[in-house]
Amino acid sequence: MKTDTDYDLIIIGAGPAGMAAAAEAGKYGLSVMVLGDQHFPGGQVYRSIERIDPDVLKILGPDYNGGKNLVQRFRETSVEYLPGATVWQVEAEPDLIVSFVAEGNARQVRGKQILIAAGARERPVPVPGWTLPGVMAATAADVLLKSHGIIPAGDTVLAGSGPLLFLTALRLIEAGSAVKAVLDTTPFTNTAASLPYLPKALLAAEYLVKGLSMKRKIRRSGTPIYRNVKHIEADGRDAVQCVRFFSNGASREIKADTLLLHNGVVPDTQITLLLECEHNWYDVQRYWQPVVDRWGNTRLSGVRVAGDAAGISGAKAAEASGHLAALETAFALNVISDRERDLKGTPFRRQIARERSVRPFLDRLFRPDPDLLVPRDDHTIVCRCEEVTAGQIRRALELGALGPNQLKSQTRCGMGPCQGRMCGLTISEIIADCRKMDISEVGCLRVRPPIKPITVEQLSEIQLVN
Amino acid sequence: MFRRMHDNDRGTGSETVKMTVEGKEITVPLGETVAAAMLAGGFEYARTTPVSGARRAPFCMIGACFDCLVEIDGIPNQQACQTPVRQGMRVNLQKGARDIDS
Amino acid sequence: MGINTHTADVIIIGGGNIGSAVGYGLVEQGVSVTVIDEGDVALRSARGNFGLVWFQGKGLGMQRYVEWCLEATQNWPDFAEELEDKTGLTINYQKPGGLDLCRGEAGLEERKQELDDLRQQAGDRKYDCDLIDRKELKSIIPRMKLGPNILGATFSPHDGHVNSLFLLRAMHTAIKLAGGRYFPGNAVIDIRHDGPVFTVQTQQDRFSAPKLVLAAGLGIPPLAGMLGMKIPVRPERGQILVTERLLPVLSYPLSGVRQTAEGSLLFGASNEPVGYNTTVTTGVIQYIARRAVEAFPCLSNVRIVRSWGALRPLTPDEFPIYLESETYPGAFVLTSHSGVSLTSLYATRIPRWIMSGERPYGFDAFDVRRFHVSKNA
Repeated sequence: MKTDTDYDLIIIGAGPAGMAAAAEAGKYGLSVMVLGDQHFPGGQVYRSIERIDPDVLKILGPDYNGGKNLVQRFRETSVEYLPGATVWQVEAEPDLIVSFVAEGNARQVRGKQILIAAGARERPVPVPGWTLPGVMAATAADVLLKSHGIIPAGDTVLAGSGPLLFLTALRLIEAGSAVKAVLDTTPFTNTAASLPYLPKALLAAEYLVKGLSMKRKIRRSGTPIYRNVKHIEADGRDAVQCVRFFSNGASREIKADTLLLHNGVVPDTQITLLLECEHNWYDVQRYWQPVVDRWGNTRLSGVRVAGDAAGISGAKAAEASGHLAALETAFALNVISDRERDLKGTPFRRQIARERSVRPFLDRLFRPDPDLLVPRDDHTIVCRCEEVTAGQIRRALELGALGPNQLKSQTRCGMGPCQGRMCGLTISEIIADCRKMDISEVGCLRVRPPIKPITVEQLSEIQLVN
Repeated sequence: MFRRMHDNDRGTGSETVKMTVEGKEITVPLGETVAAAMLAGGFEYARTTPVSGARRAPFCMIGACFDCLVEIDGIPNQQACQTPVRQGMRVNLQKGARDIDS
Repeated sequence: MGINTHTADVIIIGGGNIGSAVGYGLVEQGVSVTVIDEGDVALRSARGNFGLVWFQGKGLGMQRYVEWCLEATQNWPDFAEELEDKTGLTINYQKPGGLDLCRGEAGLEERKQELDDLRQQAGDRKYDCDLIDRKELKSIIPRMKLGPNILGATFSPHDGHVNSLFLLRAMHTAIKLAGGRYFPGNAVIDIRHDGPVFTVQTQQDRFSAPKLVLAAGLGIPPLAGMLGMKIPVRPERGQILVTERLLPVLSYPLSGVRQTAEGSLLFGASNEPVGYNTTVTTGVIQYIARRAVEAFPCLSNVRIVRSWGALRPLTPDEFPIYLESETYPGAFVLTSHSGVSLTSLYATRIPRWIMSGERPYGFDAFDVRRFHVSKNA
């Protein structure tokens, strides 16, 4: 029975996994609510695709354009889609309940099943000076380009590692920004370590070809790519004015008005940690991921994860995993049999296998430089919200804290409104490094509600479903 | 330091709004967020932190970093990157900690 | 297989408020101390409390406890100053006096009655807590406009507040500076008494000392059991909300709302017997938010950025249990809620009792035998 607070399936996230799951679930007559925190569907990869500027579209290319079909199918499915909905609490006992704020009003809804399709976020890149105005995450430039056709106007430098670094650099060059340099921190030892996985990666060879061609195009445009970059520092008085770094041992300095940092993407685990799902540490790419089975099931009954939130596999794999999670949901609700689920799931399984074939290679090729994970300079801010430095964290560790939660209580790191999104991984890395512990033993910051701030009034007035 | 690829008019939909940032009037395409409008409008930072008074500008643009907090129409500490612009909106930098309503 | 045996004058099991305060007081006396603690996510009342250093409203039913609380709050300013001087760390202790709001006519009457009862219990002694009316309350917290239901408050000059996390950090630092040793991640497996010493076996190490202090809060019952003692401690959950930072608006701590030195407001005061469960629940935090905005409507658009749940260690009558084992002299059990308020005494009176046998007067009141447990203590 559907009331306006009860749904068969609540999907958190309107990126490729969320949209695909909604489209699939719609085929079985399930009542579905989709909560997207942005004001339009598409997630990050297909951001603003419904209203993309044609000039920007040319720069973004066919992969981006391919998302149109998915968004259209999503729009045509009968679901209740709430854009601009900020989820602040998810509970699993006694019922699956999601609390969110949409249009200033706090609401609660209950689902028989929940799908967490929260996607990925950027791995933090704590370098000296990274809190200066003008230093931004590379994704930020992506948002400005896709949603607003806004690009950096002055001298721009990109720094870090990973395919998105080069993709963003190329897009900005083609959009007309003055990209002065790309600083590649990918350790040179990664190449040898990744080669054994190259043959399997050739199953999805187009990714490899794209990667090489991106670098070539960047160089051809006149933008140098510095390699084996270390010791990046942003400097400036009120805003970034220059970037200093070492490349192949030589020290350099480049004038910059904008510095874009990127060191890969990691699963957004705020909700799965909030629910206290079990997480594993994926050491190759240095991130936490929730433990799920091949259908996206966690150990919590009725709670599934799909897309990059379960492990970074890219947009196409996310879409396929959204379909699988929806099929599993329909099966869990006794709307389809397990045979039908398995049969319908087969093409999506094949697609995921194909997409994932490139991952072992790519993940090793772009394994993050350990020196970027653990800031060596004691002055580097680790917790941006509370302005806690690496040095302060290391001093506090001398008192014996074994994990991030004890550390948090001693230094305040992780206590700001971002709730560890910008600092959590770095904190765990510093502790593991200091204590010579396995980071999976160190653990991570506990996540508590509200995972996004809500006002006292909103909390007071929310209608509880129970 | 940012600019719009086109002028205020966009390829799809050229409706604009007038709003003020720190008293300065700017014209902004409808659909932009306050953070994007500020960056394109030449405003170098959004807030000063309550911890040290350091200047902070938008960093992530997706609502995760909380560095783009500004005061909008008198209400402090709002994430500029999550707020679409409106006609007549008044934006001010968030200087340090906020006050309660009197 | 060699296992290290660490020796000391005193072993303290539990690195929370009580254990750390006792450890600090002991190292100040020149005693060698070893503190054994669990890992990152142990049950830690010390980390989850509200930070009040409180006198008013406590101890109805046991006058000795009222006097214990009074002595604690009177000693706190000196204790705080010394701790900050020794460590160079700040703990943000303030003692402006504290308020407990009276909500509605029924609440006012109930508070008047409670005040009378405490005064009567105090007999000849002065009980420093007074009822103030709405007008006077307004005048001392002028920035916080009162909701219509707030008819007044009780005020006591003995009340204050502290950053309890910084307090814990400072005590740990002081212990370390004085050569005391801290062993985290060391859950205790066994405790034995061999002749003149106690031997404590943990997952990783072995420790021995002539004196042993069980200060592990909710972890005490199984440890006490290893020495044949039955110590009843049960958990009670409290949930707390934290807001974004504000400019200074509230200069007095209230029992359910206080402003920290950083500027955030804390909202609290909930009590749930839910076992060893520190989950935050929407129903309870809604209740807390409603109480806050009912008291101060001006808070309605202030944002809550964090919450947590923590467990109080409660004895059956909610008063402390302090005892030295008669079967095993040298083994002490110390547990109370309000660990923060009592810290100043845990750092002074208790260590003197442990080392020189100076048992504070009237401590029979805190013996576990008041619960008629049959096992030997």
